[in-house]
Amino acid sequence: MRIKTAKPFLAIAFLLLCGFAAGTVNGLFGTGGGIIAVFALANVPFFKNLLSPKEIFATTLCAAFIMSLSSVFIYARAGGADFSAAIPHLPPALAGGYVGALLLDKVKTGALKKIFALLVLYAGAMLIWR
Amino acid sequence: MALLDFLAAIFAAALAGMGVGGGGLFVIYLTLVRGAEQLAAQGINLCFFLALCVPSLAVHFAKRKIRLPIALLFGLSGVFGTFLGAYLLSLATPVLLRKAFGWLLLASGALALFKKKK
Repeated sequence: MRIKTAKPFLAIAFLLLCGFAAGTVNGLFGTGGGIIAVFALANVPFFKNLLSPKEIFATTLCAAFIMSLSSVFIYARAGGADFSAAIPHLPPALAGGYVGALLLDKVKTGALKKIFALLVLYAGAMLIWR
Repeated sequence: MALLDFLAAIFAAALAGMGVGGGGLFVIYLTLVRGAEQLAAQGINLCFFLALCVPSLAVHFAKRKIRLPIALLFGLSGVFGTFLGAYLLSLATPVLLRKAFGWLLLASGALALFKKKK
């Protein structure tokens, strides 16, 4: 789908709508908002012409961070999730996040994305039909 | 298992920092490899994602790759969405949640696989 508008007002309205949808997915699954964000920014000409692919990724990561902060607060208030189990995973997350961001400019990720798309398809099928 | 956890976490975080897989990869590891419940995995993954974002965003900020007005517009409209998402989560059974996440993975995997190279 391609949104054929270069008008800032319509582009921003579409972006807000996609932001809301991305937040809904983030709140429901604790992840997944980023893909909607990338889709929105990559397919609205007004923004597409404004941002390079790497800027789209970095900008959506920032937006997903804001949404995830909100989701953590909501999960914590609802009391359904045990965040203490996350503590051992935080040091490797910090190290990996730093290394990944440094590599963004240096590594071509096209083939890697296809491999992981296959992994994601397999995992999706396992979760559905398990 | 501690070593496997560490390797999976650092690998998933590095890939997410590079724009491959996002935070979803770690949920897959926690549910399919470690046998965690979907909701528990989602809670862990949220903290994991926030942690990997801190150094990642710092690097992207330093390289001036983040368009802050767009990120804020998108992120803040998303905050409203997270309330709807959390409400839907409260209605879902664990099995329904797991299957719905499976469908999300199928959709995003198919999108990534068949996306035309630009």
